[in-house]
Amino acid sequence: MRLPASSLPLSHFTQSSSGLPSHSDRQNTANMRPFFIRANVLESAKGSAYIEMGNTKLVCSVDGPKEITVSSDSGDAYSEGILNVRVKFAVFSHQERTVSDADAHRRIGDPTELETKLAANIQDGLSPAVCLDRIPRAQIDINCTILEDQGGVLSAALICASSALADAGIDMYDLVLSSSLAVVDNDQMIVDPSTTCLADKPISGSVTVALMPSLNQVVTCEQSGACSPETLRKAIRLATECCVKLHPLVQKALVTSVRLRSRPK
Amino acid sequence: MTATTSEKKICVPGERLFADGEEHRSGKGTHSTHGFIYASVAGFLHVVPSPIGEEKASTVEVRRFEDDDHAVPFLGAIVTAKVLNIGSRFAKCSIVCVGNSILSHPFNAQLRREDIQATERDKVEVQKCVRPADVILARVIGLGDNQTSFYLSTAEEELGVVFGTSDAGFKLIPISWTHMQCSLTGDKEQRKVAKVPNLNLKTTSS
Repeated sequence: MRLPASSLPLSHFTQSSSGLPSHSDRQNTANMRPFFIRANVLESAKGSAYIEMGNTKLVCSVDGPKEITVSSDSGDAYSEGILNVRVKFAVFSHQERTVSDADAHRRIGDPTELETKLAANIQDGLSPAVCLDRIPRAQIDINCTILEDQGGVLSAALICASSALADAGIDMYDLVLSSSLAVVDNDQMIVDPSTTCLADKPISGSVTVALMPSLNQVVTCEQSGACSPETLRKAIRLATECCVKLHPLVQKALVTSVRLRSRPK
Repeated sequence: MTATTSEKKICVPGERLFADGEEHRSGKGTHSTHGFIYASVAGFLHVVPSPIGEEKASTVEVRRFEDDDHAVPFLGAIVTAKVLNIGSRFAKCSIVCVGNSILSHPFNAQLRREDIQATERDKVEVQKCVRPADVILARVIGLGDNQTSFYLSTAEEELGVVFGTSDAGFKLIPISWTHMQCSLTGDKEQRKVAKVPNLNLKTTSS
């Protein structure tokens, strides 16, 4: 069936904004979207986790360590294990359905440009947190399915994947927590923004920070758009604070999963 | 906190447990950074007192469950492997166990001709030492490079074929270092036989 290059669901035009928190509430405060995480959600996977950040929903599964099947980009003799991340956007994950020229020619099942980029970002963010030196010549598969994308996918995916790794019993130096924020034109910041909340805002940039909370090390810092060094410094500090806020929630989810797994079936 | 209570403390990766020093030492499932011991897996906290002496440090471990081991082959490990196929220069194997733990995914490995026996290495013929479908005990001696997989060695008395099937399709029984006999037909076949110390004792991975 031929589909139009872009389409919008009817709900996009009829949606009322009454249910959403007003934009002013979210500026310069640590007002984050509702957060939910649960580990060990899939029976068939070795480790798994499900996360909701507002309406952004995704699920991650982890398998391994197993024999390396992908070719490593580093030329050395696999003295360390590698992470193999695959990201898949569900077809219903976006409100707006677009088919870019590059996507139109790809085969079914091939990752899109966005999926490849996101997978690379997740791999870069998680590699420092996993004890890869303890699993030489082995590979850990991380599969990430985005069910709904309403902004902050990278942060959600990093938290979800690190919880799934911990749930699978993979050796890790620390969990990875992440949060994103948007910088509005007048150097105001919107913490943990959703796409609907940013729809009519003059956005000048966005910052995503991921860190290992116990070791206090930043593993990912992604910034797009233009902002002054002072604003960026402020943004990173604010994002770090938001990450730390999530720590007890993620810990609690993992403790629950360990307790459930240890219970005799 | 100690291992005596039934409700043990559950740790998650990155949880700071103890100061690394005289009293506690980092064990399995933990890592030591900046002078502290942190948990590295999600599981139960165990503080294992040292068996000898009072002043020695007790080991801090975070364990998951008995059937949930994430072992991977490592240098020097004794592994159980299945022979997949043989060539003139090496036998291709599939590692299924490391020490006492079964791997969730098998790892490919190579048993090279010169690593089969400790003596007369250049006269060894692969087909006279192992056959496809044999189960061997071997030691991991190398991690291999980009093209090849783990390197195995059976150049020790205790290592070699522990289980094999004869051409007739029946179990082989070891009769000497170099021969095994079919349990049905009595045919003798050549193998590099492992000297298994005592089957009732657990093999210890060194």
